Amino acid sequence: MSVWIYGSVARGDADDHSDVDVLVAGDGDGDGWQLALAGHPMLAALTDEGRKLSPMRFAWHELDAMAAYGSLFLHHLRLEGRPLTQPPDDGLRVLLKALPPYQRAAEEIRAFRTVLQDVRRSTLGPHSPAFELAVIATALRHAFILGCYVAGQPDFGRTSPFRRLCPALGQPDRMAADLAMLYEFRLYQHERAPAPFRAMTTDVHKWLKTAEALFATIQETVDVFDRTVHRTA
Amino acid sequence: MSSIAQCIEQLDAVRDAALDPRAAYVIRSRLERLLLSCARLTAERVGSTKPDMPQRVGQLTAGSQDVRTLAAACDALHDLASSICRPSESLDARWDEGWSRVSCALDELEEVLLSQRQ
Repeated sequence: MSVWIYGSVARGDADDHSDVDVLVAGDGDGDGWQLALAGHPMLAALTDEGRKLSPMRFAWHELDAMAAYGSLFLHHLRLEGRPLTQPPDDGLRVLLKALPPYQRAAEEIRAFRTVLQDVRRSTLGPHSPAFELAVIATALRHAFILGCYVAGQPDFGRTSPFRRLCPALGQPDRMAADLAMLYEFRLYQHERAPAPFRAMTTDVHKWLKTAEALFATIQETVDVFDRTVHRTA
Repeated sequence: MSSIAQCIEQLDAVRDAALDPRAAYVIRSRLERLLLSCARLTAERVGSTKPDMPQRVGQLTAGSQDVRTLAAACDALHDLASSICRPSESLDARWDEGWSRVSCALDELEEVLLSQRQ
């Protein structure tokens, strides 16, 4: 079993809202892996600070399948992950070393746009504006992470992709701060922060318009990247 | 549109999205929206404050057997969704194994909703 941490704790920029992101790679049934995590001294020290453990377990065949298309999540792990276990033959390290470029960027940006259409449709009936803002915020963050990656400046931080990419997209300085504030609705959804403001349907419509424009701009770069990747593949 | 009709429409939207497991973000957000609508429907039925975010309904101390059945079906789906939807990119490897369980939970929830439609 291979155990890695990634995310803000691994990057060293954790704050009060951060949990400890853990990846467990290994086969086998049952909950043995959770017990192994519970007894891990370094994880115990990290969670002693009051942080919540956020573990994900992948079987090797799942990781192989993800590696085949250059999973962006695995790129994230390669960039900032830190192994907590050091087996002599760490298959995950080998797999990450040979990771190809992400091959699903274009379809991913299309999925983000479908999510926005869902939000628009949702506002026509009874809905929770706070939830719809959390959905928009999540799609925006992932689109910015994707945008940073295809621009050759990978950044998987919580809000740093906004700061990194906004200037390249020709956005005013305040946009990155506004996007970071919007993302607090996602943290609020996971009970990691209070709602940044009282959400109204008018806010949802305003952010839909902004997100659609940003996605269109990011998609231009993504399409160029995607054509190159598929031509090379 | 009644709350139940809205839940059923959202349930169908999850199934539509699941035809393409690569649309992971779409599946995830539609599942969350469905869970939110069901949690709001449950709150409406027991006279409590409607949540603004999807959440486990949990053990109800008030409400009819119908509401408790609905809450249990929602929570079963909630628990499955939280494991299958991570990471939030294309899901294929995990989805192959997990979808049949999510699909069963959706069927169960749909059955409960349809049985309570007036």
